Amino acid sequence: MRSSFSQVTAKLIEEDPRVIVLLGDIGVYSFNDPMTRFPDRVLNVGILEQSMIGMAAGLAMEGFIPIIHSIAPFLIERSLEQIKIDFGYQRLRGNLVSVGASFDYSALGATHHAPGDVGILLNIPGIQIFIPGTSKEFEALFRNAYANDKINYFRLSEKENSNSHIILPGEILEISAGSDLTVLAIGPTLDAALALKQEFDVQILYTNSLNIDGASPLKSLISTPKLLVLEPFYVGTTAPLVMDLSSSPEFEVHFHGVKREFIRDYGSMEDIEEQLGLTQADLHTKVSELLNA
Amino acid sequence: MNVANREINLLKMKILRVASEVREGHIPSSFSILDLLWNIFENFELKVSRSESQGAYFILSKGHASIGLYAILFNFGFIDEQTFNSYCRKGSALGGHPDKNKVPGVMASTGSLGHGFPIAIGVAYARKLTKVEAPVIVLLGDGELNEGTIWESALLANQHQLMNLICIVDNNLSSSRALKLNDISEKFIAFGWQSIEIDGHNHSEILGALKTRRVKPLVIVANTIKGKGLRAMENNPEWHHKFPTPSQVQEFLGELDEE
Repeated sequence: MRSSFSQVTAKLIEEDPRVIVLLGDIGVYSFNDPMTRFPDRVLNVGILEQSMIGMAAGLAMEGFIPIIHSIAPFLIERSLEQIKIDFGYQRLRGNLVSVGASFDYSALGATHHAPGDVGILLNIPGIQIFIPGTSKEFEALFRNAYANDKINYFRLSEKENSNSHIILPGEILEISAGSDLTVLAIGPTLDAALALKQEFDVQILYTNSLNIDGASPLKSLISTPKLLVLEPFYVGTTAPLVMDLSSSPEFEVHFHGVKREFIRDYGSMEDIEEQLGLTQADLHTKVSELLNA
Repeated sequence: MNVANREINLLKMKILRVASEVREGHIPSSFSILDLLWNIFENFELKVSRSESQGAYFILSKGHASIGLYAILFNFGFIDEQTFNSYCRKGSALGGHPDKNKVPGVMASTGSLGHGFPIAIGVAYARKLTKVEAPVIVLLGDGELNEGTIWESALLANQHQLMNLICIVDNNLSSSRALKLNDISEKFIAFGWQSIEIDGHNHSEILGALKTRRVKPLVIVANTIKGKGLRAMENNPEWHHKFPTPSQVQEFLGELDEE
């Protein structure tokens, strides 16, 4: 997904003179070529995320379309107030693109993890959040949204699904029908959801964007009495988005995502998934329990 | 008393009346910047909205002095008197911190310190690319210099040689009770800026500084008196966010009237 980001962005810089790229000294090598060709509009700003976001807001005020890139905890958590005020409150457009989704930097420790990024950003009214499931999906979403009038967040991840689904922002797609349980897969969790089909009669829904402002088509799509949301970030992050479903007494909503605890160990992504109960076997167990409850 | 001083004195009286009635606003912080603001608005054609892309750009980074900015906006015809008098009341466009989407002449929504300066860096960089010559002027408080983004942005201005940027520090010694700043000029010079230190209430010094030929990003360290013009408020931190009683208002108006 990272190389897809630099490739699409390189094309956008060429096509659209309003585009300006601000790198927080991250991903610089992959921008070598556009940086040489458009040195004024592809900047390695330095390691100062808060001022980078503020500067981007100033650029947006003058008609530019900023694309701002760093690792998720630095881009989002460190400069949250700049995102909130300089972009959100001021109603400016811009694109935040992060790498390091949740614990992609599995061996680098909690300083480089950000399973809380999406939950935090959901507190910023008007923000549009994209969690692409594949590189192709990223490209479609990015091209479609980069010049809209919103603040957009694109969360790039190492993990990708086997197949791409090109859908609109806010859209939810039914991937397959089923009658016992509905699984809503978000972004790169779709393959795990599809693997459930071997054992369970589950309905699979898919989305790769979150938007707290618009009306969600989710309710009208669900065909079973129980919903399980697969979240590639902190478990329960999407609770505010499915609140109207969980308030109905005959309907159950459950979440499966990253436990809300600091990851203090190192290792591969699979090692961390095992530690957090996020393997395919763990998901199967969870679904069995929900169906037998 | 010359025209400028007479106008500014009248604005102080308006600020006192309106802020005391609604019991909101940072009166001393506003009084320290009025001479600076008056000279900026008198001497530069300022950009008011997106449609006028060529004008100079002014950002009040110390947003809590908004009532001072509103008074100047009223004085120079950006807003009318009724709007000014509605300050902080229900339905008003004028809040305790300025909103760029509501008030003509307010170019950035500030209030949280350390935000307006990085935004000004972005505007100045954009204007360097689009070759707009009018300067980007940003006003910071000395207390605001505690924020890390100020020094990040000072590096950025030097890195990108933003010669179209003028940063004014309203050095009213707000920071002295918390964090020592020592020599502000020296610090900016060490970050690659050119610096001029002036009396922020002396109009010929202010004008001279604003018209300085810029060979680097320019900082004007304006030494000011917080609450300038009222003996009880001058350099008295107690008044930072406090409002005079009706009898104090009369006393203060009398004091300003004497000048």
